[in-house]
Amino acid sequence: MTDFVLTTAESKTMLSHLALYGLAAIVEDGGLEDVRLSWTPGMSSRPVLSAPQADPETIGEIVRRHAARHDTPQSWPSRQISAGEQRALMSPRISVISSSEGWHSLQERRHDVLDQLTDARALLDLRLIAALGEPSYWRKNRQGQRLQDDGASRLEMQPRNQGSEFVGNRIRPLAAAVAARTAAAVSDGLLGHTVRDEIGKDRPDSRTPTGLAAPGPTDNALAWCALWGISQFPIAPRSTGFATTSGHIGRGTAGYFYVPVWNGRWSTARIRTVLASGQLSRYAAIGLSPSDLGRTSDDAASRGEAAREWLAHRGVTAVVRFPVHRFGSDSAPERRAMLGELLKTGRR
Amino acid sequence: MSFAIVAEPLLGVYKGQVGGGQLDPLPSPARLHAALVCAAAQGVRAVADGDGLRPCDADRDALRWLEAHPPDGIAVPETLPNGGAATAYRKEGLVVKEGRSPLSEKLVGKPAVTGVAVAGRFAWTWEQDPPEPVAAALGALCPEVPYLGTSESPVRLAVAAADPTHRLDRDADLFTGEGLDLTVATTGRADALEAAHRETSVAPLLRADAHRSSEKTTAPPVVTAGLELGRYARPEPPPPPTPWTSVLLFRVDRPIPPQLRVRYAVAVHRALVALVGDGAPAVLTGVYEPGVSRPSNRCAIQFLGPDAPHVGGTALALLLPREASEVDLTLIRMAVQRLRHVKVAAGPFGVKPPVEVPADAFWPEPAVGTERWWQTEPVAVPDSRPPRGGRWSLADAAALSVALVWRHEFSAPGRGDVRYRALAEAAAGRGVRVESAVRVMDRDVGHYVHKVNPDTVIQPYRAVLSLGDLTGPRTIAAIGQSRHLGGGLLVPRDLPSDIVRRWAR
Repeated sequence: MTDFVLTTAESKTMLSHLALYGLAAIVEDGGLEDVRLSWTPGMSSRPVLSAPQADPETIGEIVRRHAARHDTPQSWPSRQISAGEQRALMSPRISVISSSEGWHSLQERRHDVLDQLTDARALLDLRLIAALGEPSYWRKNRQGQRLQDDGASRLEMQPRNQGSEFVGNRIRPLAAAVAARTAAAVSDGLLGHTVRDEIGKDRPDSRTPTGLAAPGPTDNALAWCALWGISQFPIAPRSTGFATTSGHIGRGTAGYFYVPVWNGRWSTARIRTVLASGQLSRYAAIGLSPSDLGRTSDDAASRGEAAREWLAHRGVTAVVRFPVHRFGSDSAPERRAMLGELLKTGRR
Repeated sequence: MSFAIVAEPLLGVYKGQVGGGQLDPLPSPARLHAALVCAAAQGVRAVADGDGLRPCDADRDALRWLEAHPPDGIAVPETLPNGGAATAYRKEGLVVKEGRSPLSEKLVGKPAVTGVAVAGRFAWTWEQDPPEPVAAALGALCPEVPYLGTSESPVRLAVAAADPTHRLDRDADLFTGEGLDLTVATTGRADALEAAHRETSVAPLLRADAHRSSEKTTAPPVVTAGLELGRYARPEPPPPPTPWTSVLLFRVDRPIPPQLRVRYAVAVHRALVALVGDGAPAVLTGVYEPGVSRPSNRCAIQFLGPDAPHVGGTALALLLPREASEVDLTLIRMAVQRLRHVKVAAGPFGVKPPVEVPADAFWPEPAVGTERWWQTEPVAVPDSRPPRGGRWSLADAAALSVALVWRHEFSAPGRGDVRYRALAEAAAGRGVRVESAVRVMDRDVGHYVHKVNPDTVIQPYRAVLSLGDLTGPRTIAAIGQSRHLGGGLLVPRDLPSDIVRRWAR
């Protein structure tokens, strides 16, 4: 087993957790075998990816190749809503489509992409697209206006000002930036040896973290992995209200994100089962009032203890809970996961 | 009291932010370090460095000492966080807006009252005094610090002596255990802060400083180099004093059957009283003058099986109570040296000269992977009849007996039955758990008790129990009515930790 430690990632930022999950998903998709995830012991705990072939060159090359594959004009991130328009077809939140022809065309073109990815057995791509969600045609307010954004994942936090959207303004430029690097530069960025923020031009207020951390220069390879980490958090669309996102509780526009930290080395499949578990969600709600969670009654408190035990028995040592705050204007709010707080399960 | 830097919030408020603007609940050692760096580089002690200022060498040494020696403890007063429910709007400057009215003032809203109310003073403590020049430099630097956190929370900082409430745990793990996780400055922190300051104090290029139609205030980047997390944990409270302070342990020349222990203990008791002679202390005889308040525990006489610790064989133990006076204890210690033979109808026995063992270091440590529980040996007898008004089990009786032995630990209100129930409940609150309590059927209760009130039903029982945080794992004690004469001795019963955890559910 070789250990690959993300030294700039620490447990109090959501970006770090997603970067670990995303990196694991990408390297497994890229053919690396026997991948295990863990956290280093001690007070400055860092996420670790281990595998027999987890040397920096191999991982750097897999991630670079993965980015390059999504940087081609034929790839799904490059697909546009319609010819001659920049907005990306696969973004879950795009500017309002009013006509029904527009909707039909959107659906057909989306299904076309999904069919192609299915034929190509591109499971990770499908998993990310499913987790991001889609513009919701099924939700309308009392005036009959579409609530398009209700079908999107809460983890997709790209501000919508000036027509920007997630795939076109985040995935595409990041793919280009990472694809343009050498394999060594990619792994150096992931390992924290260098921090290069090509798309944010290394500015102190760079928005590369996309709400998963406070604005600031963020290595693009790390950010690329973090955005692919969203693929591990499936959503459930609902006919009433926002789609339920695993890893999120509370109000749609704010609320809390939560992720586990654990003892020992876990496979990605095991992490997925815990991430999507009701027990994790219930334990993350501990200590929050019903109004924090946007509910009217509180039945979570009584079940928190059972959830804590369930988690402790599976080796979860703590749950990190990130409050989501809103910044900027009301019309195009910028959501951001703040520093996380640790809810320990009492497991040693 | 140890060497400390003490911060007194002058307005009773601490306001600080961490990360992207979250409330800082208390000033961390790293924040103290940063404030001292600022004072050293900008205050009266700074020395000229080109056009600017830099810390003098003595201050640099003091700051490096701080980086190498994180505070061993911190003292945190009571605090109360204020929510950010109100928004304060502030004009951040005039901004030209093209097309509309030429000048429009930009209003920026921020949470208004985010901060922490503080009742008392913060302190960072070191167990070892720093070297003399460092202490002198720190003493001169501290008054130069105007505030910790934002400028709205001024402090008076001074070198003083203080007691920490939390101590640095160097073997802590981030995801387990309890305590305050605070950022601590490590090697290179002062250099990193100085470098960052030098970078931001360079005048920007004319191009970069040009006016734009939408000005945004961008905070300088947060310097994260040279920071580590430190766990400051509240020290575990020491276990309360043991009911019996020490044990006089005699090796006995033959085994004593369990059902005869009470009878033998009574014989030993008589022999001891006779040896002390006239004026034997009441803690030994158990006879008190009317009106004299009785202590919770007296001298207890117990027998240990063939594998007793410290003497390696059957042993007779005389437990000396905590509440006895020095004079009484000296009398007893002198008398027991002369104890050689004990005459009993069932068979006299001889004893070796005694060794004295502290009561809290009597039993061996529990084995790894086990938790120390206790078993009553041979049996315990309840201290009272079942109180009226509700259910009362043998487990409750055992908990009550424990509470009566550690009576000074509890303040139970009321009298009689009410008080008994309150005591049993209070014992459970301290972690006393009775896992199994089984009554012992024996036709002759005289095996287990010495004197009985003719109206009382004697109900001897065997129990396995945990003493919670009342005492350490090595303490010798006995519970129940016959604890002073050969009954209710608590002997270790080490249970695998996972079984205990299953019980706890």
